[in-house]
Amino acid sequence: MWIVALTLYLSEYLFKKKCPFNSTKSRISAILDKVHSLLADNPGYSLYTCGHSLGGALCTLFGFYAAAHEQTHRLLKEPVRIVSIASPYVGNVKFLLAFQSLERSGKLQHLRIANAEDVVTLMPVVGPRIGIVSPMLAMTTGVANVYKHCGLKLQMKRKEYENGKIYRFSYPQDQSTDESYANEITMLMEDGKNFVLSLKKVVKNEAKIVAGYHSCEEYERRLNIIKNDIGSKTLSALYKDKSIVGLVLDAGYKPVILTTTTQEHFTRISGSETIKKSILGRLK
Amino acid sequence: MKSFFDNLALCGFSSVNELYKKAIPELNLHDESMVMLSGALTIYMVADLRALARKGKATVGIEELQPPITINKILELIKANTRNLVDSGDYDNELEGRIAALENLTRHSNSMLSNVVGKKTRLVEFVDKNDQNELVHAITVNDAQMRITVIFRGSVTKTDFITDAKVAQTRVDNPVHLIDLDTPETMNLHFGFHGKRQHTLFS
Repeated sequence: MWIVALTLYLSEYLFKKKCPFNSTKSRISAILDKVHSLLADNPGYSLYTCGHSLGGALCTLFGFYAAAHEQTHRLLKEPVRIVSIASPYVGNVKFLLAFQSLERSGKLQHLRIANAEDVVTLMPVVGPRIGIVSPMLAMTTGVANVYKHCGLKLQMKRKEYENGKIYRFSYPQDQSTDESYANEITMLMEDGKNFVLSLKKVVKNEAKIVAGYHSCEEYERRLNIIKNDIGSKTLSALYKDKSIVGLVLDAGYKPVILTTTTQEHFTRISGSETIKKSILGRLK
Repeated sequence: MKSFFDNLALCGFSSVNELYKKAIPELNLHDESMVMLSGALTIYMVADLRALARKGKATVGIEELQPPITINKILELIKANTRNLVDSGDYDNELEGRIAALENLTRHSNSMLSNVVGKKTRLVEFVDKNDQNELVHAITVNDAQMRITVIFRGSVTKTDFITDAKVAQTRVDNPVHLIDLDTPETMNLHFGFHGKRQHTLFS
């Protein structure tokens, strides 16, 4: 419930025409005030936000709202930097579009660290009230309501990927080309597979193992395995790496997103040899 | 005759801080991740220690845990209360290992990490009100790395989080629409993590 409260409060107090800074301040605008005054007292300092699990979702939201706030950029010369660890989904594709707009204008960077087998990072997909799996939501309400992750993802896996490494970087692409669209679908399928595998473990009374994939210790262990590989990189450099971010962050880029229903997605998939081939190739 | 600082200003540096800033390279991705992970991990322990202190079950009172306080001091206090924290039930034997790992990060005096999580970091704000189960955040300032970090605590237990997640979304105004008209007017955010333990902002 508190995320609702948080977001309602945010829009209410920060962005509506009402007096934004009255005495009954929300937690988030109080944090923003404090941060702005710290930045004013310490010129040249940068702003970071982080958290694990639920804290990862919160820092993603906080970083987003901080970067969207004009005052932040009067005091800050660098992007707001979010480092979220094991964060669940935060918002839908419209949130992603807003988030990417801030990234495109250099106001925000987000390193999203996720273990491939960590179910929390693939949630929420199952809703007891609605009782359907997230991609299925697209059937009825259109893809705009499906959850989307944001930021540059560092995914770490128990076993190696095809390239022999246990990690890979990726960045959410739009659906402008058949390749990017096919890639999105196959990534979703991989996530789904990991989710099912983890659920299987829970059913087999191995919930402790699944919870282990989500623990700070497991994240630390995997980060140390890839220390030499990622130790030569920086977040800013990754944000400039076209082989990871593609064209989506280019100045003036207009993302192409299908905000339509599943029927239209099916039509696009069945109409494109590239997409079909790519999906079948990945399935092998 | 122009002073050193006037010359700096002529070179385009508006303040000494800015000059200093130019000398600080961005952390590499491994150090960055470890620093942020340490922060995310420490906030769980600090909140738990403060809760114990409030109940009078720690070796220190809550007033000794109020910011401003250095991170090193906090780690010292957590270490002194290892047994109390384990007895409180939320930790198993992993706690000692965690503390050792954090100490290790701060001990190596030459490493970048020690500058970020070590003695040069001050905790300037820690808000956990009275309820251990509500939204908890901390703000730290590090003068060596010249950074301000806002840290949020995760869910109280890992399993609670897994059971409590829901799929519903709520529509809110998109603040970026005011800056970039190409972005949608509204957006959907996670409706929240339902549950008896997560009623936080208004309770």
